[in-house]
Amino acid sequence: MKRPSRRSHISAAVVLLSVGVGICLPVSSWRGVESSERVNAQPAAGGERSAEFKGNVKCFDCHEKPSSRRRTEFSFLTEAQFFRDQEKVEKEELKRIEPLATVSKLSLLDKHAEAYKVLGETELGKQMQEKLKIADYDKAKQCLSCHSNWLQNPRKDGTFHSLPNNFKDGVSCEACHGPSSLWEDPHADAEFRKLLPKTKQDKWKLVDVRNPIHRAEQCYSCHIGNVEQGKVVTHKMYAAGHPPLPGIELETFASAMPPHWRNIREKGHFQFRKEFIEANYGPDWNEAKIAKELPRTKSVLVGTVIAQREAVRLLWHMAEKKGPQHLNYRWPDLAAFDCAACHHDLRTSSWRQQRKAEPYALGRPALKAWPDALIFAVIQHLAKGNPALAERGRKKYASLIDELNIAAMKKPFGSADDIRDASDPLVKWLTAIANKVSSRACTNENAIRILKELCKTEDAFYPDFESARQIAWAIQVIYAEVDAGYPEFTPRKLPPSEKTDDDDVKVFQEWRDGNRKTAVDNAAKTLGIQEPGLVAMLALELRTGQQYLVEKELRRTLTAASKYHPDKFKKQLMLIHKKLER
Amino acid sequence: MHHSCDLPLSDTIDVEGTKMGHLQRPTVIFAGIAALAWIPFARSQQKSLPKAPATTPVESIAPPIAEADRDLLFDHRLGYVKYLGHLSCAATACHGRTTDLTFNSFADGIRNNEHSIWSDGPHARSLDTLSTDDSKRMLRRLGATDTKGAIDRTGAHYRNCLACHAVHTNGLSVLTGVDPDDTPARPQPRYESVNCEACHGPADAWRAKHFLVDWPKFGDDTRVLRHWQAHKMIRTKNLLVRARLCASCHVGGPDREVNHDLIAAGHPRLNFELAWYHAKYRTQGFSAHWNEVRERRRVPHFEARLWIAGQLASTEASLQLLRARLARVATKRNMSPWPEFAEYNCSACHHGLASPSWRQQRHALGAIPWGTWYHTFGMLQTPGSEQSAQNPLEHFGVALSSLRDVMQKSVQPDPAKTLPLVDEALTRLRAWSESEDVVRWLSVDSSSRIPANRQASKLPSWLLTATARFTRTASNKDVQLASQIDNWDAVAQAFLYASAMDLSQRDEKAKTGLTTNADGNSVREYLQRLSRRLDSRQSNGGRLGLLGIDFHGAVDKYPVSADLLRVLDHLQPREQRQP
Repeated sequence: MKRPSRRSHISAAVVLLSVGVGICLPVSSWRGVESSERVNAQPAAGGERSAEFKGNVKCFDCHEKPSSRRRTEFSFLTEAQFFRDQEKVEKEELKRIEPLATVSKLSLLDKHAEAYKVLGETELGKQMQEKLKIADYDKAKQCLSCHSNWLQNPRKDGTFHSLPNNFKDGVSCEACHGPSSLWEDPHADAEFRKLLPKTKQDKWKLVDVRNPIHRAEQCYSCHIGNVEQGKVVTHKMYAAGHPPLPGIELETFASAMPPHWRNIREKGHFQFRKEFIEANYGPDWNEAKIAKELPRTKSVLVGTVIAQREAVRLLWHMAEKKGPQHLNYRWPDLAAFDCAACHHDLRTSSWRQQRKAEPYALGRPALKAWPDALIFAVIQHLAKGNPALAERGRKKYASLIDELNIAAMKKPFGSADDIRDASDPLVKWLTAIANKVSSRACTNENAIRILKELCKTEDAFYPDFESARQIAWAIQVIYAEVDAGYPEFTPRKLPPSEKTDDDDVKVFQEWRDGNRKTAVDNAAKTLGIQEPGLVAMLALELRTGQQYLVEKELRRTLTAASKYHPDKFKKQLMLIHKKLER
Repeated sequence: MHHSCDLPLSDTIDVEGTKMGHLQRPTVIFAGIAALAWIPFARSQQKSLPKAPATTPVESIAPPIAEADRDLLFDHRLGYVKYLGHLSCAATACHGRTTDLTFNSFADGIRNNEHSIWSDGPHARSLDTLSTDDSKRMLRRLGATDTKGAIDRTGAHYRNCLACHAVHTNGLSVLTGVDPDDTPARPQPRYESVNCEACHGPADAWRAKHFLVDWPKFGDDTRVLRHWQAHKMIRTKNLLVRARLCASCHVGGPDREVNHDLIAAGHPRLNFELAWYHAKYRTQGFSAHWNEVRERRRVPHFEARLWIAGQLASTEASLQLLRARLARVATKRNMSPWPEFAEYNCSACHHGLASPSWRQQRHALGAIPWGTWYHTFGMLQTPGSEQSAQNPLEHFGVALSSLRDVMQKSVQPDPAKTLPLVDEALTRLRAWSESEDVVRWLSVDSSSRIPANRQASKLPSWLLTATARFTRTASNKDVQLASQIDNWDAVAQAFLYASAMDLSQRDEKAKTGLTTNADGNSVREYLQRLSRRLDSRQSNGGRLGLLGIDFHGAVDKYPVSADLLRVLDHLQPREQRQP
């Protein structure tokens, strides 16, 4: 959250209270639902039914394999294929003759499907149970809150819904899309597309993951943490062996799931497309506007703002309240701070000491820096190239984040009261910014401006490893989208005689490895960040597939973090900047 | 700071002075407190010693721990003391002889070259260190700058630097803790590096007298002590006085500290151990200005005494420092950081995150171990409960353990609850330091002649019992204790202990004409292997960070190795050794 370089030239004296980018906002966007409000939204007393988890079985009926009855323009209907356990798939597939198909299919299996399994079946899982004295992890809310479908929507009294039948499926459909008892029937109807997402949310508890704000909230509730939902990795859990949560870049991480969805530019024509666009983007949106829209870039921008907001909210809540009983943390819980603030190499004259930090921050556990890394690019985007507006936005943000940094670092672990006072306005401002970015068009012109902003390397700019990853991932995604655009995707049509069971997966794979992956790979080549450049320096590649378990990948990341130096990173950024100029 | 374990095992006593016969020009830049360079082990040279003439038995020369000396060091009531500066000692006829910087000519007395040797040594540069680019950067990071951005050399930060790095020659000593600005005379400040007077006391009263024939020499009776105290001369020959003197800077004290802010700004961590720091004079290319050969020859088990004096003084200084920190937080006079991370084991936080890791096998999850460097020895003296404590040392161990529990229970210990525990620990430490055992063993004037008789040449049983716990702990026989020796700090302390004891035993054997047997030589091998292992730069081609912490996780682990166990076992009396 700290970027002293850019802050340093912004005098704290000027606190613009009522001007600045964040303030001239649409008063209330129709999409602007604050997280706390949404999460706490409860069925009205009486009348409305409460949503319950139903499990995957129903989902799998339709989403595992398209049939002749169902059309696949809107969704591939192969989504459920990826939410299966590798072991089971292997067992099934070994009986068959095509090992190649198995291999390709395995590489598509989503790690989320293993979320539950790792609790009990890995060495690390067993070690953590022993260290944390967990007798039965099927009852351990602090684990299951993130590692299964559980605990998505706490009831008003703070208790949680009972364990769904399919909790052993790990993080599957309902973990992100919401408990399905109310929406499983209506959503299968094409007419459903015409409805406002807010209606779907309020009436049927279907989470609007098409909206980057809500998508980000869904991902970050586990990947950053959320006290209200009972999802926090405490320092004790880390000490017992839980792998550190890396800084998350929404679009990059989503691409590594792999994505089982297509964004609006990737989808072809489907029934009620016009109505769908209007419902999801706003009444003033049409095909012409969509044709210029960059949904992935927007996702990066919204994602980073929400990441910062959720990180601040987590800090605030951990400092202020106890949270659900199962979390059992005591302030100061070290997990609320940046891991690398303490867990770093000790060298004299290290780059850490070269950073221009405020004297009060010296030797203090610092707040996480990575959610801060892209905020200035977002401000630049909103200012639309108007330097004065950008400067105002920067000053506003700098004053808010300064307050929080002082509150959290003036003395070791800060003061809970000060953290609350500083968090509140910051969270509000970030929510407003996220709504603004989300409701506005994001075009090529915007994207290029953002890229240039991201490549800026000031002398006093010393991004840490995780911040550098954020910047590099953002550049990669945005450049790929600008560079490749959205050529129409036409899957190979095989004559029915040659069709096999794997063809549906192949169609997906073709799409994924075709447009998306090629675009990113080409972008990496064009920018010169492929191996052994930035990709190796920052361990940028996130490998898809259940064979790449997190704790195994961790070593690769830690090695990169250990060798990391901001000067090397800045050198690469300068090279990219030169290429962009051309 | 580099944990370079250039240890006291490097040579035994060398009476002829052949090893010290040449003073190497120091190649080491003294950076703050730490000598930063690794100097390989000097080759061992074994010489047999002539038997020292029999004089008074060791018991009779032992005065009580001199209150007078303690007052001179730590009491703030001294009032105005005039410091004269190092040049007042530097006359060629006095201590400034430069023609022969060896032991040879004056092996048994004053050598006249002390000032010259000092001026080539590390302490003479302590003030210059504050003007290096590194120091300037540190001060900037600390915010010790004025409105124009220049280093502010009058503020609290810089005064904290001066407290150790300088002596305020024209006014009151920084050593006494009184703000020079408060003195009525207000002389122009003139600072010198840690000079003669920094350790020997302000020379105004004794400069013109201390060389006279009737100046009472080193001594045992109250009259001598009073005389020295009256003249404000510090009895550096008394091992405990010396230990406390060194610890006042190398560990810190109420008016001076290296806290975590300072370390984050770039100051090396302080890792003081008296016997090791003495050994640095033998291994790092600069010479001691006092006759350390004579010390080792005259005082039986000199190294062992030095080690225990160092443990006592370091523990005492670090507890007093903790007390001052807590008191500052309690009064809220300034923004003293609390919790103070410098109190804890560096590698508790600064470690790699690779999993699986040996750290995860320990008991307390996510807690920060406290007191692993300065209290390793004290912590080992825990008998389990207050009831089973049998002597003052064990009573102290119990108090120290209670303090540790509070310091570790939360990452933010409550100052109000912690302070009384520190006081209790200090009280018991004092009781131990004034107990007969310690007085007899430590209040040794290293210039006195002590007979090499049977009695004096044996390590006292209380010391053997106390230190045997290293072995017991290291061999995991006591699970509760074992967790205290599973980190670099504790293993390094155990190693330094082993080295001091080994050298001590060697010296005694040499004095009685015994040659070291093959068993002893293998101990040296183990020690050298351990030393290489504990030195981070040795174990990974000099590439690693200061604590040997690397995110690759390769050397993040300092297990109690078989080598250490063998050494510790060897130091036990024969009948207690492992079969």
